[in-house]
Amino acid sequence: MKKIISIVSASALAVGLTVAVTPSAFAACGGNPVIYFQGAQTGAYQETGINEANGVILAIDKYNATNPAVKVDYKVIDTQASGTQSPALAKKVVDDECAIGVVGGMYSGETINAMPIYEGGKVPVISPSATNPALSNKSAYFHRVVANDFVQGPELAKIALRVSKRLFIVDDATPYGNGLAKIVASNAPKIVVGSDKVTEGTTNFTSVVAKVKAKKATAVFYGGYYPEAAIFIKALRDNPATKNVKFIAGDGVLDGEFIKLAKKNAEGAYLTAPGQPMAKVAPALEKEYKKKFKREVGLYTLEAYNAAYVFLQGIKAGKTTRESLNTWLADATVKAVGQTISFSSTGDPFKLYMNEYTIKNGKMVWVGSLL
Amino acid sequence: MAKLNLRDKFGDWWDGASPFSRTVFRILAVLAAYAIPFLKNPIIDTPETSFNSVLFYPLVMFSLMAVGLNVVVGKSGILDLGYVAFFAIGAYTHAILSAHTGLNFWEIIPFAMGFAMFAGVILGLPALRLRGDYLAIITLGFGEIVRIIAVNTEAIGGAAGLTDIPGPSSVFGIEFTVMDPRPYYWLTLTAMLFVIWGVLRLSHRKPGRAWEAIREDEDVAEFMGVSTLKYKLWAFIIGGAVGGLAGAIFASNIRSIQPELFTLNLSIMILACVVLGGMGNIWGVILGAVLLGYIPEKLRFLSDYRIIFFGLLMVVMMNIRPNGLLPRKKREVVGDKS
Amino acid sequence: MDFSILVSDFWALTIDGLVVGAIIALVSLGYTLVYGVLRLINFAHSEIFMIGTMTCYWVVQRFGFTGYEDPLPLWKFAGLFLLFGFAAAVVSGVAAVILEIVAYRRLRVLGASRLSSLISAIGASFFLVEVFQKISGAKNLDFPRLISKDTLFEFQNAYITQDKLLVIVGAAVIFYILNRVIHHTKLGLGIRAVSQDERASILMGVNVNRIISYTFLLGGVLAGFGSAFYMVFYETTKANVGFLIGISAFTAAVLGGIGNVKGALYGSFALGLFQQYTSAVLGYNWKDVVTFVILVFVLLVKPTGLFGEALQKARV
Repeated sequence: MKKIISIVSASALAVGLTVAVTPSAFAACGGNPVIYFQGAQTGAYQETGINEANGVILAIDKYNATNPAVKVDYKVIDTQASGTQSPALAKKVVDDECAIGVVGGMYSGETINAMPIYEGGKVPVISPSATNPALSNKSAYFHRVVANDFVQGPELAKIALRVSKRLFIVDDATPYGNGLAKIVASNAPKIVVGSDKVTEGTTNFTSVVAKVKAKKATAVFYGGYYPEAAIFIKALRDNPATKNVKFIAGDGVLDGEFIKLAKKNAEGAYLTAPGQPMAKVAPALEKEYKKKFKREVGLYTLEAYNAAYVFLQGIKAGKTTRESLNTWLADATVKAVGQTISFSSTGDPFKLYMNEYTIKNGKMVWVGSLL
Repeated sequence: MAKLNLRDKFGDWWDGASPFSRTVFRILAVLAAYAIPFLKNPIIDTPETSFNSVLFYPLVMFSLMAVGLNVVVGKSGILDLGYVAFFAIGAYTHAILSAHTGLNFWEIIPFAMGFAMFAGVILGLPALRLRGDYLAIITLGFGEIVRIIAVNTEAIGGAAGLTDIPGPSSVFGIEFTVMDPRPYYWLTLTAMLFVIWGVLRLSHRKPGRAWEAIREDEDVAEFMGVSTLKYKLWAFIIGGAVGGLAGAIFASNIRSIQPELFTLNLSIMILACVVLGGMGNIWGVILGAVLLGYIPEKLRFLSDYRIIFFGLLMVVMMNIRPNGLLPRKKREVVGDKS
Repeated sequence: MDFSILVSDFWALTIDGLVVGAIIALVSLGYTLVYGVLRLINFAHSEIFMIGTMTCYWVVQRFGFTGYEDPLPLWKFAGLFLLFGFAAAVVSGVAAVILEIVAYRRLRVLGASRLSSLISAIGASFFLVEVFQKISGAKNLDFPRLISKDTLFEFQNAYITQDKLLVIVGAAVIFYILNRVIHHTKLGLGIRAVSQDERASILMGVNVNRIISYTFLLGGVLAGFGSAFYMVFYETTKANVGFLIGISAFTAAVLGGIGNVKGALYGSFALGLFQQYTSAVLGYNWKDVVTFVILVFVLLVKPTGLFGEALQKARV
């Protein structure tokens, strides 16, 4: 009996091995080229990710509707904005013979970790919203349509210098929030009176407010995302001593949800974003989006749309391989919606946009262009 | 009531098998494990992630860590909720040393393990005097502290972490490139086999018996002359060293690390591998790690409902097999029901 | 190190620390009560708290607040608060009982190791967070301002507001009632009996399953009230809100001596105050590090927490 078992198991394993080592043939792409979107579709950051994915889908559907010679498919990979998940997903994109380009990643961390894989697979990447300066010059395959935080930070610092003489800096200890806060601090060193670091998910800002009060700051800069920013600004406004402190923050806070959460406390906040205001530069597209997806546009919907649009122009010009598309990107100048896009050798866009916003009567209001 | 117990069935066969068929089985099993990356099989392939990438992380990486944590939780019964700390220490050791010294990956490995062991001593000496849930909260805190320190120390990259971490230099003609996860899989598998070998040897000797005694009843063990602190500390240090090793390999593969990769969730996940697979039994623990690493990737087509289903599955599996999928042998389980 | 804030704003930090401590305490009691009877960490308790906050949100949403209206007059607020507070308490309580039946009961009857229950609870926790993530669209939900947060009076640089008074006084009332329940009712006697010796309780004719269900109910109700205070104070929630407060509450329970009701209470206030002071002196980001270092020292000096356990010792 024992012997039989051992023979059976041994032969089973042997068969398994032969099956295993049979090489599998790779087929060349048989269908349409595919543009991937990389970002969060589930989890805590899904809102931003879905808004961007929809922008990509809109661009591709519009393109296919014109009956082009080469139709384009899209696929969405869900990283949950996590740097541990993005490499394995990126590898699958690279393995897909039909993958021709990636719009993404949504955040910088997931993009940094996935970039070596994309580079190895020679897949061109255009990010609509990863603004970390560390991505500049990282790879010949990385491009982005937004200005990085080395552009946004100094502009935020200028706003701080304009409205205040005593600035208190708070960040959420994420690569984005902390990175931006450091750039702001180094560009306005004379007026910084103190700083503190919270964590994502913090609700208790009372000790931070006590510090703002004790340092007699007249403005705070918050590096982080809107949920904590809303709680922070409320805590500031509720304390009589910090009621009138000016609130300055970057694109992570500029979101309709910020107003919804902070209510009238959000009024008068100083906000910036490297993106173009969609309602202003592309009202028709915004309507189309609302009709198609039955939801409001997000901060980077337009950028995602434009990133996909750039790829589509390349495909239209006959660049239907990864390599040729990437080479084409280096010199191309694309007049996208509300933005003319061409990439410098670092992958950053030549024409930079930086806009200032504020919140008035519960609405996000465009103040002006900063560049 | 007769219950199908594969582990015991196999155990009986194993005990009665001749040394020759044991060796054949061992060799075949190891070969099969090494051959998995060639298995381009639609049944086991993952829908949206590259199978070979998944094979490296999470599958074999979780397995390696689970085998390490098993020494702590499964063998000696210490509830450790901060295992990610050792993983982080290993990863940061590789990232920092490779940037500031001329050492290559292979030379850094001993340092990564050494620093993780040292951290085990620092944490273990005070914490292991405590018992049960107090120890659990201390280890949980330690895991968080390591992450917080990494976030707040600008010298090691702060919140942005470290980038441009080199991979291992090639050995035996095998190149470690970002594009091919297979060498990393083989490397981790090899490391895991060494660890398994070491742990099995220890388990059958004095430390193994001491751990078992501690797990079953610490007071009695102490009374019978087992130096409980010493053996618990050793379990902790060995577990830590394996965590550090795993971290260094992980960093060499992913090439950039951020503190946010090392959260409590990972500790919990590895603990779940150990308990769900079957505490104390290495094969069960590996099975748990493979399942917990693989299921979320396989379920990707469920998108939003993936983790809901995963959570449900954990509850159901635990309720169906309370001692894990492949528990320790029966005779060892007796007394667990105190 | 900056002690100037601790000196100048000592009372402001103290008041806020008490408020935070009171909310943590209501959650912490759930951990400690369950630990008392079952000797296990109810890992999914933080999700029971989350369900409470969600209940508050949905109840209040029924009234169609936009968040831009003036705060309610006090009597109206009191009515509404009692409504959503009790709703949260009931929903959380029931959820806790269901949790026990689904995730723990079978394992307990089988006599499985406590780690198995822990993993089952972790699975339940994943499940609940993701389900509510799905329901709430993974967004932060906004709770309207129902009570004025204007300063009532100033005391040594500290601004005393109605919501802070509400939390501190309300929690004190609940603690008083809890104390009565545990020490002067049959249920309390049952809980204490099972805590001391489950087997002896069975022999004496105590229906242990029922007592355990009631314990979970009690823990859930307390977390539900805690969530109502939380919503009034912070005015926002989301699906993973339980995580941070759960860790704080668990830490507090251990600090005070897990299984010990009084310990959880004092542990929570100590933790609330201590974290407030350390974040003022060292910075918010270091408060958890300092907390754990202190915890280690406390446990080394007093291995069963500040107030000791109700029973002899904790075991895995």
